[in-house]
Amino acid sequence: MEPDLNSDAWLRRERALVAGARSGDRVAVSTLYRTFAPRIYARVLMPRLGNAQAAEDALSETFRTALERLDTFDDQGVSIYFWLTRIAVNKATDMHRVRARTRRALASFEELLAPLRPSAPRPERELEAKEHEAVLRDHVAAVLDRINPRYRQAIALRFLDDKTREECAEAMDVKLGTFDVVLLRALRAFRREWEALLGAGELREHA
Amino acid sequence: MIDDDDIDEHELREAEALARALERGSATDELPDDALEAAALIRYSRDGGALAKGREDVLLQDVLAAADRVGRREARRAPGWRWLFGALGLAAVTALLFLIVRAPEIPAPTALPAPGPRLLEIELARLEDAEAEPRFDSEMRAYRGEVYAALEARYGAR
Repeated sequence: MEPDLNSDAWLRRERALVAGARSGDRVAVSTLYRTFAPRIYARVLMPRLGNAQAAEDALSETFRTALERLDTFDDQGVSIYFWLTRIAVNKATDMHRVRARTRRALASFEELLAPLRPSAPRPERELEAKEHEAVLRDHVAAVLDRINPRYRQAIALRFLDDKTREECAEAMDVKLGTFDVVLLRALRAFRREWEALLGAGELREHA
Repeated sequence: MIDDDDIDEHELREAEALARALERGSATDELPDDALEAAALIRYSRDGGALAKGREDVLLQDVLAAADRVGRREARRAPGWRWLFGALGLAAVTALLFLIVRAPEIPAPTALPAPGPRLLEIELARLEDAEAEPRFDSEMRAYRGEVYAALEARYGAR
């Protein structure tokens, strides 16, 4: 159960936790981490990095940096979540900056998600992000329905059924290299259709 | 649809780079970002980018190690005032002990002699008979002498 970050009760509790974390209290740090880490990972880092390993590294870095700089944090009546979010965004940006050196496959799909998100994100809207998971699934299904059935099959086998490349190639009765190309084309077709539909506002009304 | 003859070298390299990125998370120059981003979006749609519980626990240990470092740093910052208060407290306790040890012994109350029945009888008699006054003075002087003697025995002569 996620706390209501705007409630006075939560803010009072959070202040006590932040004070504890400033002195290195492990229980306070654990509570803040358990409360915020999953949502920062899901809502901030994964959409900007698209790579679980990179997102985990960025999450860990976010909390380490926050602990180091906790003395400078001034809540100004809002949850520390939004401060942590800014740190996380900076970490993701840093990772993209050094991508050429680290050779990590990073994929920010933040822009693709943007049409599904509120036009002016506010703290109280952020709390409703859970709803967007269902909306996103519906939109992906809708776009898959509009692309070539063979491409849809390739995407479904690889990403929704989580099969290996070899299993996918066998299921589609093609060589491994051919499957790789089919998948590449399928993803490009998916993206074109996604942008066309959301750009045209056909699905936006569901968001 | 796809035709095997339709695949050019560049597309093949892109497809291989994409396959490598999806399997191992590593990037090459040929990696097609547009396709990788679409793949990441589709994967994300399955679970909303949920952080696995096991991974959450592993990362927490990392964060707690950082918290311990912060705790040690705060402890190092604290000695200035902690030592000051500690020293002041020790000084206060020492001073109190010194005063207790050096304080003069407080004597127990002295038991004074009680007036005898004869003195009380004469005191009653002088209320009715003025002639009894000299006898009362005489008895009173004697009693006063007993009291002074007791006080002198307890505290010494002045």
